[in-house]
Amino acid sequence: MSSSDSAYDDPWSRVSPRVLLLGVLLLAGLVFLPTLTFDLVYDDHWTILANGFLREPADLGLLLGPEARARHVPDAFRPTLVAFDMASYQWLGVEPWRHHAVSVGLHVGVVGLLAAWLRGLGAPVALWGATAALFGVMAIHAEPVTVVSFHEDLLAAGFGLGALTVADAAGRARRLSAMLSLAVGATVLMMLAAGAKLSAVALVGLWVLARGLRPWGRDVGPRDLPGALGLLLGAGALLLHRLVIFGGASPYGESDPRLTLVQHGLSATLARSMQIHLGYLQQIVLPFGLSPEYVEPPDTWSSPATLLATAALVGLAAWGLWGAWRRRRPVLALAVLGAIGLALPTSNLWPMPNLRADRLAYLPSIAVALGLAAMLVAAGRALRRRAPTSAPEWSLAPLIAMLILQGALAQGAAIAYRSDTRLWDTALRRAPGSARAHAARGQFYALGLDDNPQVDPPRIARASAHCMIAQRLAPTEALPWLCEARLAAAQQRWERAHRAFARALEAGMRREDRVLSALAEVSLDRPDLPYPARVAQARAFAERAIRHYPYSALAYATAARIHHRLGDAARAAELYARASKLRPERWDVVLAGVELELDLGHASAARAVLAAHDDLLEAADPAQRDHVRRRLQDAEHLLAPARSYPLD
Amino acid sequence: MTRKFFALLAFVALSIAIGGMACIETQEQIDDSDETDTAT
Repeated sequence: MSSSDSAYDDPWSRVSPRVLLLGVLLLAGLVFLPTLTFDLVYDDHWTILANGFLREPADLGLLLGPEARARHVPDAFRPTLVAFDMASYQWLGVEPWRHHAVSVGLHVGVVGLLAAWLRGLGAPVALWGATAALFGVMAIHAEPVTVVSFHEDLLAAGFGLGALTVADAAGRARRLSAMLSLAVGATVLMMLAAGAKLSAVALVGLWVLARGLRPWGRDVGPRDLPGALGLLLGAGALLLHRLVIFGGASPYGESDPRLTLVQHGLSATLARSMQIHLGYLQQIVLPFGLSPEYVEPPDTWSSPATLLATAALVGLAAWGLWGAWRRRRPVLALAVLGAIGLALPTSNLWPMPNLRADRLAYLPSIAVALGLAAMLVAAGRALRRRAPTSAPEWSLAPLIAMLILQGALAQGAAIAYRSDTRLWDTALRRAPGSARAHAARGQFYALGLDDNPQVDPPRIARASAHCMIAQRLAPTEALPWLCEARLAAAQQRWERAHRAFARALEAGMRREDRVLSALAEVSLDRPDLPYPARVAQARAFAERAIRHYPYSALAYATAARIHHRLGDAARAAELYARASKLRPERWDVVLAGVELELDLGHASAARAVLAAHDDLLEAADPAQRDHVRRRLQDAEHLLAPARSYPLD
Repeated sequence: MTRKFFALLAFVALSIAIGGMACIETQEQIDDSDETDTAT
């Protein structure tokens, strides 16, 4: 036993490391197990359910070049994530619980890899066990573990920690061939990590810190060079790929006026960012105030909040540097400097659409978990020293108390992501000044209106209030206009809907396919335009949507419906087929295709389409399904070949 | 010791579940009061 091991002598050392690891992994899995009953929410609709690219495995190679971005593939700048989502979809379909099980599995995998990395570095049992257990149940992980479309954080951490572990193993390998193979493995894993989220390149810095500070005595030597080069090569390759494809580290556009950094400048954004990062630290250690949404307006460097946050963070950094310099408390120095380094990529130095989000703390929390675990283990030892006659298990009391607090709050925080309405209700409560939350809530009220909206005035009033508040809060943003447009469309006020959709488009709506498709649809019903103008507008918007968004099932389904209504049967059939291929789960597209065949008098073809999709139509709206079946029965009756008279 | 460890683990998991339920119930109560007390 090393000197550091004896320093942490406690009940942990009496359990086999395998049993300990199994227990820690079980605990991490159990805490997030309830999320298996949750819906797909937030960006899951865009990146999983409606992402036609996932249904086209043959196009996977496009992710390596600029074409995926040009075709508006969701998250095209994260090739590992998109490839993983494609594989998940192909194997698991769209059942929410299966994707949530993958998320929990990924998180448990990250916990295991964190334990493996720390063990490889020579950390004592108590410390790697406590760190992994704490990281596994942290409440701030509720968002990335619960929302399927945030797999990027889990993948980046998993592949990244795997890369660090393999790079360390390369240094311990006895044969040259094994050393080189492991170094290549570290390169590939780091490329996969950075391909999931570029922030993972900061893990190379964590490896340098961990090896340089030698908190558990493993010296860095020439044999570590191949592993280190492997990590650098992997991170460098992905950085180069990003620079070549996107022209910069940030894929969000250096001149996009919608981004806070572009709109308000670096100084004001960083002033707020200081407060945000102190907030992250508090939320990781004491997880109160977690939210799916934050309103973070830019600030000045002279504001008291900025000064206080800056002083606290600079003080922590100075303490970490001093510890590293003097080789005192190297574990805490590693935790402090590691957390700062891991937070740097998402610290708003580069343009980001959200200044703050819980998921952005997933990587930095690796280092914080290590520091916090070290303090809790030390507190347990101090407790034991005060009462030497007590049972040895009492030394675990501080850690267990923290595990229970974090785990319970993790389950409480995760429930916000159970459904979309729950999510945006919680967002509104936590961030009442969020235009996005008001716009989203307004849209959900509008979507809940049935075919005759006039019968539900309270729902209209609620939707309208949220849309108006959103417009007041952010008059130049697109979402408040989308909210108004959807409400007007639900009320069948086509002219107003058209005007609001057009405003949303002008305001720089992200994922334009939604607005272009909506504009195409409402254009055809505008009473203020002559018929030829409506037709021309509808066709133009529909064509634009499918040209710019070739993987959008929504764009194809809308274009198909418009051509169907305009009597262009051949084109409509072609577009329905493409929409179905891009999103085979859409029963409404299948029913529309059946109706197209019926309109053409092809009752037998309609019957064949219906029979081919029996399973899918089980999930269809019963009223619509019965309507189409009745039409088919009528058609089969009316269009049957005439019977010949027996005497003819 | 392994048995003791798993007993401790079960205790932690149970405490988390109870604490989690308390958090969830609190949130649902807030939801209900929001539904009746606010203009929207």
